Amino acid sequence: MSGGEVIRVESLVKSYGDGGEVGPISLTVRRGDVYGFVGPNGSGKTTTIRAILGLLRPTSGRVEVFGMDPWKESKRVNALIGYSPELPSFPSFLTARQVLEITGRLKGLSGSELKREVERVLDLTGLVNHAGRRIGNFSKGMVQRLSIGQALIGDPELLVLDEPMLGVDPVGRVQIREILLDVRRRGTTILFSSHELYEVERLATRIGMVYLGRTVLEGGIEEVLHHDGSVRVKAVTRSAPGEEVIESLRRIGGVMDVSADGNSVTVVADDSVDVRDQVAERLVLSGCGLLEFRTERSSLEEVFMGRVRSLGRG
Amino acid sequence: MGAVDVLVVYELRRVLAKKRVLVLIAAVFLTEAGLYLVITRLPPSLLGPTSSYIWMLGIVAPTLGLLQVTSLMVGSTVFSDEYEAGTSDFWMTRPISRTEYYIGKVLGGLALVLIIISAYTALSVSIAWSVFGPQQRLDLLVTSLPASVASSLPFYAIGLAFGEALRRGILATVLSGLTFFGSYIFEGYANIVAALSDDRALLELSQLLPTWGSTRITTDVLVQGLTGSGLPSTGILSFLAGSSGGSSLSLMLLNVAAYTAIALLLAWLRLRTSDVTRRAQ
Repeated sequence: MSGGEVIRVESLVKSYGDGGEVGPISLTVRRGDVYGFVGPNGSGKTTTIRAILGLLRPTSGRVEVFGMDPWKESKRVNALIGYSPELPSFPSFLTARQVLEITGRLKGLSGSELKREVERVLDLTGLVNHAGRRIGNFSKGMVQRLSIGQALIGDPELLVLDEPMLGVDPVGRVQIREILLDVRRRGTTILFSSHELYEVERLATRIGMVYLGRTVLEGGIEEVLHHDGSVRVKAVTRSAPGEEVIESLRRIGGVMDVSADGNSVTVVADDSVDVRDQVAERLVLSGCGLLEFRTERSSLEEVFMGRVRSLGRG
Repeated sequence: MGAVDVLVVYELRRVLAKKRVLVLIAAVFLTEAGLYLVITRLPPSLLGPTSSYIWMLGIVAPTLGLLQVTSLMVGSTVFSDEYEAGTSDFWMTRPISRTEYYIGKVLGGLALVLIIISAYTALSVSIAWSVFGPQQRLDLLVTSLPASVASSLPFYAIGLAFGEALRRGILATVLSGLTFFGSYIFEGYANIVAALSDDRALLELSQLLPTWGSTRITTDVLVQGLTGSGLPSTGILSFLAGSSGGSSLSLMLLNVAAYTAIALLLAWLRLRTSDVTRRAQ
């Protein structure tokens, strides 16, 4: 494991008793990364995360966290990690404060230091007024916020979050996003999985994409967003362009795809060719009238769907 | 506060939050009260000098079955409840080793069993003293209390092992309960057949059953303590001697220790070597 690497997963394969298998999955998370781990349900994200935490033993492949094998050295590894699971569960008879205190104690905090840390996290997660309530009476969003909170206790070096936005209402989402942005600013390394590709695009500095149990793409956010090598030219016209106009746009060199939805036209082109002048010219000359014209890079969702489609064809 | 201490306290609170365990604990105490209530209906002449030793009945009665059932119910939920509730993830992602988790949980459940035994022992002595007058040989509590704990151990451990192996609380309770009642019934049946046919081999075979040591050891300790105390060989002494079966205490200890150790070892190996399973969705 080279310096600066916090997590290294190499060709992780996990076979389950029912014949199911996940892998090979590989990923590398470096110190300070905010690593977005994306992929559809059942693609192996949670299996990978559980192997990183030492909750399951890989069938083959290697997992190292801070240079340690989490299966063999789970105590030392977990001392450096804060973890929030997908669908978090806490003992329902405990209060939020008790969960945070237990976590703090196990992380070596005590006395006034523990008290201060618990109050800090209660404040950060907006649970101050619910600290004495039993978790059994909490809403799903409150449990999710508590889950993020207990992961932050003791200021861990690595934060592992499995679907942190799952089941959270829009207000809760904003709060969680702000917490994560704050943690990111402080330089904490974060690995998080999510189906919310928009959130991943906003938060992540690196992306790992898994599909059908395998890693299909990994890299910095900018690198991944340009992975398909395309650029989108979007235009809004005064009147809807006819089929002959669309066809003329398709004939421009470097254009890969053209789609129209009413007055809105999207041209996907090879990003090594600048097609903007020709697209604008043909739309204007067609008499449709040009109201808006802009170029956009691919969104993570588009990259993801493009990748899924190409793998599906393969 | 170390990891094991945190887990012991947590485990006590967790088990006490379970309704079915609370119901069973209540049943133990009601049995104690009911036992003495029934004895007050006996003519005083029938009790004679044994009324000064009547506290022992309240110690022996639960160890003939109720204590084992309570212990297996407590034991079978120690690990399985965490898997079912999805809270095993919570514990296993804290900075604690699997060994600490195991020791803390096992000791926590055991602490509750110890509290139950201590409480019904105190209740028994209190009722006996207040209803039947001053009680004698209370010094035997020093040996009967550990013996009662030993009584509870095999089925606490068997419940625990089923709970860890199956990771389903109800199923673990049913299977460890079946083990208890199956062993109990088979032992009684074997004893009757052995008595009718004078078959020593069958009696020795029944000593291998998990109920054999567990249901006799407390009685045996009290019988040995009372022997030579000048008590007539009728009444309470003959009742106790009949319950103990007059077998060797060391054999009973061996039986209890073997079942406890094997079950605890199996649970430990399962926990140490298998993945932490997620809650059934």
